Amino acid sequence: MDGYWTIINGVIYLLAFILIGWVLLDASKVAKGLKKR
Amino acid sequence: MAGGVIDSPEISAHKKSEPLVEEATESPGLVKTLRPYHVWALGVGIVLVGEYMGWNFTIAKGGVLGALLAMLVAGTMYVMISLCASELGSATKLAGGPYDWARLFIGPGAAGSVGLAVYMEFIALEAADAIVVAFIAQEIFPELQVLPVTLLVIATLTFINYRGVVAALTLNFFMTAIAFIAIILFFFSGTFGAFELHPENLFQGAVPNGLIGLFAALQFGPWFFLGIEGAAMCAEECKKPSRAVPLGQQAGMITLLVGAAMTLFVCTMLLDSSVPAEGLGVSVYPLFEAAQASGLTILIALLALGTLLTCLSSANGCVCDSSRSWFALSRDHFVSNWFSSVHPKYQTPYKAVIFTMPIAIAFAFSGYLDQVITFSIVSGLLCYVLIPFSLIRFRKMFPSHISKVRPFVSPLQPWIAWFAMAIAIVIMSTLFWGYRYNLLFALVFYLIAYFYFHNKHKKYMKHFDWQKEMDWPNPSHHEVSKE
Repeated sequence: MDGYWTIINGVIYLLAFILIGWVLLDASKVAKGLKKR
Repeated sequence: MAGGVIDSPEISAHKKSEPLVEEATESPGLVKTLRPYHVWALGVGIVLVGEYMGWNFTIAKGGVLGALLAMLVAGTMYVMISLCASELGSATKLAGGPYDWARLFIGPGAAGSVGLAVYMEFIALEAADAIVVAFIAQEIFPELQVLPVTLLVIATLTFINYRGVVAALTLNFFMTAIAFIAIILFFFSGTFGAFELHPENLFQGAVPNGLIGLFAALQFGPWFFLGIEGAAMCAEECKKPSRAVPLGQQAGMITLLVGAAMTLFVCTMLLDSSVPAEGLGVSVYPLFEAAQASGLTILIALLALGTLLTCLSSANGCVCDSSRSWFALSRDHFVSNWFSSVHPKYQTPYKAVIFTMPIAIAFAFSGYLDQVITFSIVSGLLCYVLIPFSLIRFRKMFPSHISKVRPFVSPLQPWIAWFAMAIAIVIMSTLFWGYRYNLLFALVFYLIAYFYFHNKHKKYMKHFDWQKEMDWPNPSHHEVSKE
């Protein structure tokens, strides 16, 4: 059961980092002028 | 300044001490799509968490009567401040809210301080909300860790706000509406006899600490309404700000007054408050615990959902408001102009939105939740002194009621502005009971900010062109400021 919750906590971390990563990646593209309207 | 600023060579070439007029008006700005219900959702969404938790500390200090007095005094102050904010917001139609009002009508020192105060108020509140969501999740699933859930909440809300203000505030509307309906259903279930109420509770814990307790209870009164002034901060993104801001904000204030009265009534009737250090006075989730005391499963589930949703909607609104405050500060070079960019696709101040994330995470993981919340309250109270003062100055500078300058005219001004300032100062002084060092630290912090921004931008208003920037006639003292 402990291992099961360790995986869930890990998945939550992963989701958070994916969201942060997406936002930062998109922002860097916009800042460099690669992304247009 | 009307209109946002996109990264451009003009901006980078801009000198810090000069006003940013030409660049701002030529660049595309924030998207104008919001309606009155979005303004309502932003204001009430941030505040409603205070009905679900926190307000009950008034009971620990001043008993039931102390809570009632704190609610009425704070409610009076907030009605007056929201009237001031509605008039100022609908007139200026700018994203910075209190910061922009102080910048235009008081001066750069006050503007910088109040801009920072708004930023700190909302970002500290966002961190506190995210932690509470994580604690609620952990209560439901004890094996869940607080740290990853807090991080996920902050990351998700930053992502939503990054993608667009309409989606963020529409989500806020539904979450806030469910949480408010939960309070209404709970109240009417009790009054129509679905569960037993205990009127004797009202008298058992009425005034446990005497008059000093009543006075000390005032410091927690703002919990019922803290952050409603933030509703005006989406003015620049409203379709019709002169209608949406007063309508959304005043409807929000009425919602909160009704919610506060219902919460106070039903919680004191269900939870024992005869001993200040026990029961309702120290409850973490008073509405949820009151629902548990009612014994009705459906109400317990509804209030649990309401507690969770209201924390999320509060954090979501805080991301929106703190990013707009930082964006406005950046646009006028009070902080680095790098943050003043608008996303070409989503039309959000994306760098300012992203910048809320590391600060909120730092606050959240500092481990001092009560200190973070107190700092947020002191920052809010500083705004409540400066918002009415901005209105007094606004009325002096533009005394005639022309709709171009003042589309919404709040009643009984400037008297209620003076009264609101006085109440805010009295409430701030009550923080000496228990939080004197926090209060002193915050005041010193904002005093340093005041002198720093005053010195840095003291020439700013001398170059200010009211006609060009605001499309207003020159103010009555314009000749003096142009010297």
